[in-house]
Amino acid sequence: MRNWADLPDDLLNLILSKLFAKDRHVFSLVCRSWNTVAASSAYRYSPCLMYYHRSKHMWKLYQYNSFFYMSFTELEKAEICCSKYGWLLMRRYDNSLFFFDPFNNQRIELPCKLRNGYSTVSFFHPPTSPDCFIVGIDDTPDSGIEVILKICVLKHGEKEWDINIYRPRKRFLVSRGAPVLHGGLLYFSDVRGNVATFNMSKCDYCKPRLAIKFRCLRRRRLGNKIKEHYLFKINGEKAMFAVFVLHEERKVSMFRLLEPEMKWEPMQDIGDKVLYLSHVSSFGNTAYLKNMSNRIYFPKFHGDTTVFYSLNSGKYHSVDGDYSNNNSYGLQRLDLATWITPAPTPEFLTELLTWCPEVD
Amino acid sequence: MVTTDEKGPLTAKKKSVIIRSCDGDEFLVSESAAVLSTSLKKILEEKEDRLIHLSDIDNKTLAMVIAYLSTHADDGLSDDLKRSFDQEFVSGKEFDVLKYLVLATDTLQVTCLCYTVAKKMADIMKNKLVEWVRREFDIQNDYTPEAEAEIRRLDAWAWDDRQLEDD
Repeated sequence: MRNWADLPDDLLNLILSKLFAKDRHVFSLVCRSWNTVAASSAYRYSPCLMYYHRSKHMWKLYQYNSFFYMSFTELEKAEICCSKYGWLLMRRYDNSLFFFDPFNNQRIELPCKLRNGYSTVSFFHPPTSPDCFIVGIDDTPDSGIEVILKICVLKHGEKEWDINIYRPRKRFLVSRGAPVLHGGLLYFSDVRGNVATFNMSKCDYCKPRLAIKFRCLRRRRLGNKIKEHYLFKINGEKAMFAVFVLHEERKVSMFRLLEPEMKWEPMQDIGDKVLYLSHVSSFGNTAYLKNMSNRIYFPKFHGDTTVFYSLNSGKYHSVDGDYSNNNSYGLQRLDLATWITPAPTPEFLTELLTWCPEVD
Repeated sequence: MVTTDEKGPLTAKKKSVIIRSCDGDEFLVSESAAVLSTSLKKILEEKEDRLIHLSDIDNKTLAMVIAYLSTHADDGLSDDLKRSFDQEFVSGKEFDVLKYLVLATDTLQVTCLCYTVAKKMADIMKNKLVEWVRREFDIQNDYTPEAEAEIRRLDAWAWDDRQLEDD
């Protein structure tokens, strides 16, 4: 008679790939050998694409090509602004903001609202950390060609926004791609691929806080054709990167930012790295599985299956099935989806779950 | 003892193999179906013998796997038909049956069937308590109470204590 505790690892991994959340937890608890498989599984801490499935009133989470439905009453009537470290930054329809960790059911309310219309609202540290701050970037087209750029910052422990207003000398319409914090500077791009940096520190009076560099793309006409903007850092790399998806055939162009000249240098491949891009969170990692390297995972679907862009073939492929195409026409794109990585339950101190002690 | 459904001079030319289950039943299978299993293919390449004895697969399970292999080896069937056959194949089967089926497909290395069956097993395991899984698989809990408590505490999503149905 077969001992079921010693099922082949491959088989256990197959079963495990179809289990999620509580069910995956149950799997680990069955016996020690099953837990060993679960603990070393590629599924354990690999990013999930998470979005609200309107018609089902449930959140849908994709990991590889398995999808799971979850409901979170905490997330009702709210949309995702940003996501990092297993936390979501959410904005309710009444413009109040809060952090939520769906893996551990923890919530941090923010003391002040932020009206709708901000192009991006993001954070860069775990919200339990005293280093954490939130940045909202807004552009209001003024009369004529001018744009008023508004950057507001809410620091951990503070209850009011620090609002900074600028009038760039040239039109700078902020893209929807989330900004990146890099060497104490906040980097964000306009819709034409130009880069602005905002110094998070107020102390440095000799330099202006906001610096905008135009003509960052060497082929200037490219700037008119960008449809989707993604800025990101890659784990283990020093530079800043961008992926721009163009109108024409949804062509994917990847760049590395050359500093200090602030020019986008085209790149053809990323070696053993894999990119997870969405408007609210984008990042690159070393691929856990070798066959996932040199790929870009977008929040795009072909029918019921997720799609990645292979930098090897220069084509979009479905994760499941044999779809492949050199453009993304006909693919469904999700704007309010985020990549989120399951995080183990930390030891929470309740006081860390308070943004501003004065208010609560 | 050996039954065959092959008829006509054309199909008679096709090579066949006999597969014997652990309880002694023999099945006549076309070679084109048998080679869909990576392990059977290897055995056939290594030896001339047309009789393969499988010591750890019972007749009920073997019959199911052979039905699957024969359907998938049939060039006359479209991919769509094969896909719907796969769906039918696992639907309504007891967890007990699936357990042995997934082991057999693993032994025989029939990758696509193994995938389908494992998925179905996972579907059944959803919303079950750990005690249910241990009972159905006849697995002894080999955790110390401290180790089990630690995993219950540490693992992500552990907070989700919705009422699980246990049947």
